[in-house]
Amino acid sequence: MLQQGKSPLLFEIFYECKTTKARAGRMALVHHHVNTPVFMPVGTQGTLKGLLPQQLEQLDCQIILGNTYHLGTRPGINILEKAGGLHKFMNWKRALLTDSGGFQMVSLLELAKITEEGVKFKSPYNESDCMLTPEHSIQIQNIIGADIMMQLDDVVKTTTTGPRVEEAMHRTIRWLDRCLKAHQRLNEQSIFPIVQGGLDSKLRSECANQLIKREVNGYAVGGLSGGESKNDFWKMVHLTTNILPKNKPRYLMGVGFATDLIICSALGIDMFDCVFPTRTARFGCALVRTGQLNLRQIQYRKDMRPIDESCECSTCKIHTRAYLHHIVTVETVACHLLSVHNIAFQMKLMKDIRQSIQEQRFPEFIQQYMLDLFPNKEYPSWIVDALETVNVTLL
Amino acid sequence: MKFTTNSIKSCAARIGLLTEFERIPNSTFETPLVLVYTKGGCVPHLTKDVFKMLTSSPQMLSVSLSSTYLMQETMKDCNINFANFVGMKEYINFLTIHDPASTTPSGFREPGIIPLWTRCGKYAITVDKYMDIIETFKPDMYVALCDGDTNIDSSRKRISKSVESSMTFFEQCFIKHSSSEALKSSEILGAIEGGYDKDARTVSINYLKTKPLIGYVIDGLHNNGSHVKDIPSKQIKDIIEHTINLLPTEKLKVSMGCWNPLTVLELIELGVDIFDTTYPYVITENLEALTFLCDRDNCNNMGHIISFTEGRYADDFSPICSHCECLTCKNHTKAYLHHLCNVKELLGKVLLMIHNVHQYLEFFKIIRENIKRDTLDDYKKKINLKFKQNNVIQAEEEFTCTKDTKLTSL
Ligand SMILES: [Zn+2]
Ligand SMILES: [Zn+2]
Ligand SMILES: [Zn+2]
Repeated sequence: MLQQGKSPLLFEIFYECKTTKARAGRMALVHHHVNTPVFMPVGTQGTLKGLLPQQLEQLDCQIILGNTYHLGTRPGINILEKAGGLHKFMNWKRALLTDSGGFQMVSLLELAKITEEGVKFKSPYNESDCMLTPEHSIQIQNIIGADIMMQLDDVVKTTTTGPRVEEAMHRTIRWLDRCLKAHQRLNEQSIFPIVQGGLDSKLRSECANQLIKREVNGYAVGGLSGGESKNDFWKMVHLTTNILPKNKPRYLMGVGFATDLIICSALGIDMFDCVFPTRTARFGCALVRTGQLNLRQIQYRKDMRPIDESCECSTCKIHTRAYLHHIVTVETVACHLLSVHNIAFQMKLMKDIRQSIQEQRFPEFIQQYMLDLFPNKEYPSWIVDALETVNVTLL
Repeated sequence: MKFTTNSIKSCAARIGLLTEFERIPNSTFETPLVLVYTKGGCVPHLTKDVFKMLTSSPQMLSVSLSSTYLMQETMKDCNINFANFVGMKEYINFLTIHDPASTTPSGFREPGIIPLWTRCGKYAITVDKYMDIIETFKPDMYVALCDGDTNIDSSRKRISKSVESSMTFFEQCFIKHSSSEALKSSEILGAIEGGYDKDARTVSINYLKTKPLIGYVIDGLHNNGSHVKDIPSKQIKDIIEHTINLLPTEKLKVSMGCWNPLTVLELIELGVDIFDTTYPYVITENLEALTFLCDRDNCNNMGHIISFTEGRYADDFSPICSHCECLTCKNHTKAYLHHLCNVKELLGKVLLMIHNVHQYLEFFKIIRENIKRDTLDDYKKKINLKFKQNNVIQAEEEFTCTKDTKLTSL
């Protein structure tokens, strides 16, 4: 494939961990640079849970996600095209990433059916037959205009086994080629292929090996964090990052719990996304190093401490757990305050990871983090095993 | 705390100055003033950092006990006042009993108590209980316990009962207030009751005007809630005029509730000094944006309000008002607002609240300028026109509709 002009994604690795597979670097995208490893908050419908773009910038978010299926439904592609893309529509000046719409469609619409041509579904509005093809997905994502787009992939449930997994893997590769061909804005947007193959090492390897033959700017690891065992999960990540080229960013889709972020960074992942930090905020939960505080609980009624003494976010600077307890699930402001804190928490964790990689003390960082989390050293075996493979032994 | 005004005539628009707040000595506020409505200790939809983006000037907050009552036990046990507990210590606060934005249920009266409606149900508030709460909250200003459960339809009997019990409540509150060490920095205001009955108002005023107070809350005209915006000015004009004529000119006059901007102007012309932003809040909850303020010739908004439930804004990529300096209008389009409202995303109300409160703060700034220049009457006419235009547009639309139906049926 011939690319003219400047690449819409330049990835530079500044530091490599000498012990693990972790790396700290920077992606230069058309709208903004992104320091990696990065956590990307999810703004499904062109907004991130009540936060202003200015607040997201203050939180140091460099890239956020939009969901193609939702955006294509409302406001719809015509409006987004007239607006000149999602950046302008929502007035977000930094980087954006969109998914293909396929996953949302399969998980949200009962009647979605996958054929070789694409995902067949009934319109939720007028019951008419519709088809999301790889070409159509890219056409929509070209209009949305995110810095990074996802290929349409053949999604199967993570726990599916048998020939369907293999079929999906091969189809994903065929669909990637159709996506790449349909891509119209080569100088502004990058397509990431998605490594599929379920929990089968052979299929995953084959898929990854096929995908790396295509000329792309980065790769995604898909089909994980869907209810599989943690043991299967980390092994698939480890195996995939071993095959993917070192000089391209790797994005692990749908993963965002603190422990997973640390371990998968150690396994060589550069990008993460998850709805969890903002979704849990809506239910009154605040993230802390040891898990989360459910501020609805009566125990916080007279707790005059901030959520986290060491947190620098505006919520922790101003408000106590006691006050938050009184307004959670009553005032929308409580949801905004917890979203601010939870995003700040994720951003701080990623910053700590990057910094410790840069200072060649990532293994020590992991050891301390896990010890804080499991003070009696009853580490789950998958954590021990995963870390052993990248030469980190817990304290 | 001190209130000064240059006004010598009662029942006239005037400029006043609130100064010498004990808690924040260098705060001053010019009247007519609009208090920023809060619920549960926050400006609805706006975190404090966003509220600071909306306005960097000092503001006075209106706080209702009904939305904060459930916090009082924690505040008391932790020995922390309201301003500190909700993290708003740099703002002066004014505590009222009921939430002006939601209708206070009528009835449920018992001697010696006021029913307080919270999200967890009804609480019976006695004077002792009330003053105990006030000592915990330590508000900068508050209204004495009162029975304001009257409106245009209230019977004579109900009205005289409300006046009577409010006088008793005040008497007891005032004794406690005067001897309270904790309330040395708080100002108590008396509530003038009497519904729409001039004789009853006179009784209430005659009792309160002898008390050493900084000012009065003109209460008992409505039972709060969004319908207050539909009360026509002419319904209240007479009784307010009567009330203010009898009250000492130099004292502060407060009227809370969701008055529409035209009524606010009428009330200001009658000498009312303090209002609150319930109206822009209610407008926001309706997914509407205020447009009455802009008087530029090239303004594309004809009426006083636009509603984002209307499909016509779906592809309108202009701001609510291109002359508005608020964060929303500077950064976002009507199309985006329409989308957010359409998919019920929280940011929709955040952005609308920013615009609507900004507009209302500007409205009061303009009012004060016009009073100083003695041009309030002209300004009032201009604003009236904006409100009329909405009705004209509606009438025209109805007309075209009927015409269209006729054409198709032909
Ligand atoms: Zn925080
Ligand atoms: Zn205008
Ligand atoms: Zn505005």
